[in-house]
Amino acid sequence: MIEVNNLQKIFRTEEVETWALNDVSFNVADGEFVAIMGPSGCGKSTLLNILGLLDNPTKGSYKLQGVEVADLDENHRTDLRKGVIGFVFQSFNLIDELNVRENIELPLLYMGVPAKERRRRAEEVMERMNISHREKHFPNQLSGGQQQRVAIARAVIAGPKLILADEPTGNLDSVNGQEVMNLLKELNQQGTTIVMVTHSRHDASYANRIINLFDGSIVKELPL
Amino acid sequence: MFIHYLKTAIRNLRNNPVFNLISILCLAVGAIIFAVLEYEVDNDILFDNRLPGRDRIVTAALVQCFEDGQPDTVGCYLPKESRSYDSPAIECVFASVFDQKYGDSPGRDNTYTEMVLTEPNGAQVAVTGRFDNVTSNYFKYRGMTLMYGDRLPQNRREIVVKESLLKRLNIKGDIAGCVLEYSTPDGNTSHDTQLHIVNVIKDDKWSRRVKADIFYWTEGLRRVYAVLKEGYDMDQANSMLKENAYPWRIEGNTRLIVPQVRPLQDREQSQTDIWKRLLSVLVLITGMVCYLSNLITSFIRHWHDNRLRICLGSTRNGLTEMLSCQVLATLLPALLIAIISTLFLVPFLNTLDTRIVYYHLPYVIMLELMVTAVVLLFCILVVAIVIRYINVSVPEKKNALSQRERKLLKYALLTIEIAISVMTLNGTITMIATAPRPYCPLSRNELKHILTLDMRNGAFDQHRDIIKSKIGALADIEDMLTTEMPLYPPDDWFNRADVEEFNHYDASQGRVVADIHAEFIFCDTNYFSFFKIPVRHMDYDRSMDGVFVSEELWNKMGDNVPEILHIWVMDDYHYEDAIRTTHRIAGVFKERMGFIKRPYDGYFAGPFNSQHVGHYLFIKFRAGADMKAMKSRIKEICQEQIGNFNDGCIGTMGGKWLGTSYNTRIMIMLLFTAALAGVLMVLLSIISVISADTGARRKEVALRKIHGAKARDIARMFIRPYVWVLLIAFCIGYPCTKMLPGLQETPLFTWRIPLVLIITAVVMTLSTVWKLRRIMHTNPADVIKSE
Repeated sequence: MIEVNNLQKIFRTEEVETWALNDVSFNVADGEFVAIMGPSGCGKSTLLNILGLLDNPTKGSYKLQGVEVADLDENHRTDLRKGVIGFVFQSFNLIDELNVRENIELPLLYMGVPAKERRRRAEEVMERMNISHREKHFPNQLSGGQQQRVAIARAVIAGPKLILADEPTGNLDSVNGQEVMNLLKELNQQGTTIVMVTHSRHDASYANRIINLFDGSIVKELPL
Repeated sequence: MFIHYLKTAIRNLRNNPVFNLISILCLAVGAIIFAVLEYEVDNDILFDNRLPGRDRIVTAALVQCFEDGQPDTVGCYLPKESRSYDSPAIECVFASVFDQKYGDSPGRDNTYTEMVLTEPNGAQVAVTGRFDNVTSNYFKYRGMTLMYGDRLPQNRREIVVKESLLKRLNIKGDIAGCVLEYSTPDGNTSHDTQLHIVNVIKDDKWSRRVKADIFYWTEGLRRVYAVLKEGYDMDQANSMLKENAYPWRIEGNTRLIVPQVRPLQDREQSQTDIWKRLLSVLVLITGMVCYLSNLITSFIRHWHDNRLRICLGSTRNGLTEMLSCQVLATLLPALLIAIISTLFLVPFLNTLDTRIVYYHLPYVIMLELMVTAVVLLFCILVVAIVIRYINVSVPEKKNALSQRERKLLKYALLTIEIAISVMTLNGTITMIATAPRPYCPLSRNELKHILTLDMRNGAFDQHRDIIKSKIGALADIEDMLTTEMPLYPPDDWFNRADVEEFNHYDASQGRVVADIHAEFIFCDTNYFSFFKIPVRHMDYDRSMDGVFVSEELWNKMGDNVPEILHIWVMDDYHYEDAIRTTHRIAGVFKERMGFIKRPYDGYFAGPFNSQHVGHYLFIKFRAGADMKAMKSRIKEICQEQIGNFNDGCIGTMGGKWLGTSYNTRIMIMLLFTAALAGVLMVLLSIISVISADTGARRKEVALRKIHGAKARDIARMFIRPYVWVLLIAFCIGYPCTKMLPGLQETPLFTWRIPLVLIITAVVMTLSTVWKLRRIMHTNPADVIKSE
């Protein structure tokens, strides 16, 4: 699914040059569940941005499903991202003006899926995530756990091959955190590849493999 | 997709109702005021810019120099026999014969006006009608001000058009408009109604025939235009006119009035026009800035969501579409409010002494649409540019914009907003301070103590002298003046040296020092219209040679001021004499009725318009007199003499002033309302921007509070940068006022500087304190949690 070779990301300002990623290389196979761990500032989010096609690396190669994407322009990256990659964020990132169903439907909207089909698929996913009863509610009317379930629903609705999760339980209590991790595990068991950034050893234990980052480099890869 | 965007936009509106309402209202008010005022001014000044052959249209002005050295632009009655204008240089003349304040007819017996106005596009406009001394208003057709009655509902006017076409004039063609008006102030239709038909006769050629009474009113002639024949330029036309001096000669007069044509751009804008244009621009700018700044603030607030949308698959173009949709969602209500308000405003303005009439409605609305379209396009452009700079990454709320970017953007916005506010405040204050307003030279109390008795009614004919003497004998009377019908004066009367002394009375010196003609616009119109002294052009068919004060009575004015002063007025055949007479009248009124209290800054003393020549008695009572009792006593006296006495003949000077200054007051009120709307928008926009800024820093305030900051510390933290913003904005905005129409010559350093600065500073401080108080009273823990 993912082949990363000698990936470098350098942020340059007038005075400072920061190496966010330094020769990072790893592979993620189809259907794998990988956890990325490391202290704050080690480059986890930068790596996730690049893996999610939100940013380009400064150097190195990144192949997604065998296609080299490291040098693609933004339009191509957007096209490639649609329906292939789903995002789950620590702070849920739901749009306040949209209700639960509309938030979930959003990726389909940008893919040009007709309204009827969008609705059908949203209902299906809501059913699966057990949030159907909250369909008309707005994000500020939901608990943290419910918001994260909506975020996961939004991430999976387009049937992505890859889900990138950035500390998905970071803002949740243990019960809700557990629930979210179970959901991710379930998705993984159904064949979705998951790359998750986390600080939690417990959450990382759900993964097949842990990649440890430190100062922009992979220091350890531990299969579980 | 569009529906999704629209739904989101509408939810946005609902989520921030006050914020959005302010920006929507500001834009709507800006668009309405701009469209109405701009159209009003444009219609009057620039109407012919759209006409083909406009380069041949010139102003036809008649210039004469009076014996006392006052240059003025005047017109004249064309003698009957010379009404067909056939100048070698001029193709045709078209004119707005009836101007704003001076639209009444020149007289009862010779007021039949027939005119064919030919426009450069070939259409002819025939105007015909009988004008009587009526309460009239003005009908406008393509920028030309014609007469129309204001007492009929509009649908009735339309009916009259058709009826009049068939029954009265039998003119074939497309009717442009028609108006019915009344000769009686009570609007009774059974009285002598007058018809004025405006008819368009299609014709391919220019017409040489102009049958019009182009007569002099102080302002009317500004709207007399001529079309030069092809091949003639201005100089040629003028020399031709001077050589021939035909037909602009007035028979029976010693003066020769020399016609001139001038380039059209020489037309003067009246000060009111300039103010209107100034206001329209100010209010529009303020409305737009308020709207845009609120919109940008809203964009910043939703920056994070926009990044998220890109992350979820939206393209930048898609995002631009979405944000444009949000703009549209706020623009549409603004446009709707503007249009609905215009639907009420224009018919209302139609009834007033304005140049906006009901059929201008579509044009005004079109202008509003244009304003909205421009704002929309501008917003889309801004959005498209801003979207290009959105940094795509995994969205985190904290990093919507970098700290530095946010700070820069915030203070830049704030500075622009405050600079525009300063500019608007300065412009509005200047306008309010210098705007013409109906001048009342007497205090309210003094107005109450002068009663007026209208003795024009035929029932008074045999009893005037008795009534006057009986009233004159009342105990509390301080002075009394009367005006009467013209009589023949002694020939040498106008040679009296003392006549000129009223030209300029300097109160500080206590004597007449000079004539200041230039200022008449600012004082004399109100002065005379206030009095409604029955001075007027007389019916020249009645062979009235002049209007005079009888020498016998005039002489009484010396040491023994008479109880009754007779004043007669003259017609335009003796123009200079009229000037002297009216100067004299003004002076007498000034002394006798207390007008001397105001420094006399010059009168224009031409023949001016009034509704009737007749017998008006001005009765001045001593302070403290029981006016109710006096009124009843006068009523009794009249009742005793003439039997069937109408109460309406007795009025107070206050009532008269209110009546005569009605239109002026309404116009001023409208201008001031527009000015206040501008000021209000300024205040609202400052409040909204400051509120948005302080609101965005709730968490910071809460954190500082947790760490021990007091209200004073927080206030200082906010106010310090605001002081800099204020100073920079003031330095930019205040001089920028000079770029506004009509303010180019305004002195920069005046008393307005501290006033504008203080108002802006106070509003900024109050909005900061108000918002901070609310934040400070919230539990910081709740704030942090909610953020």
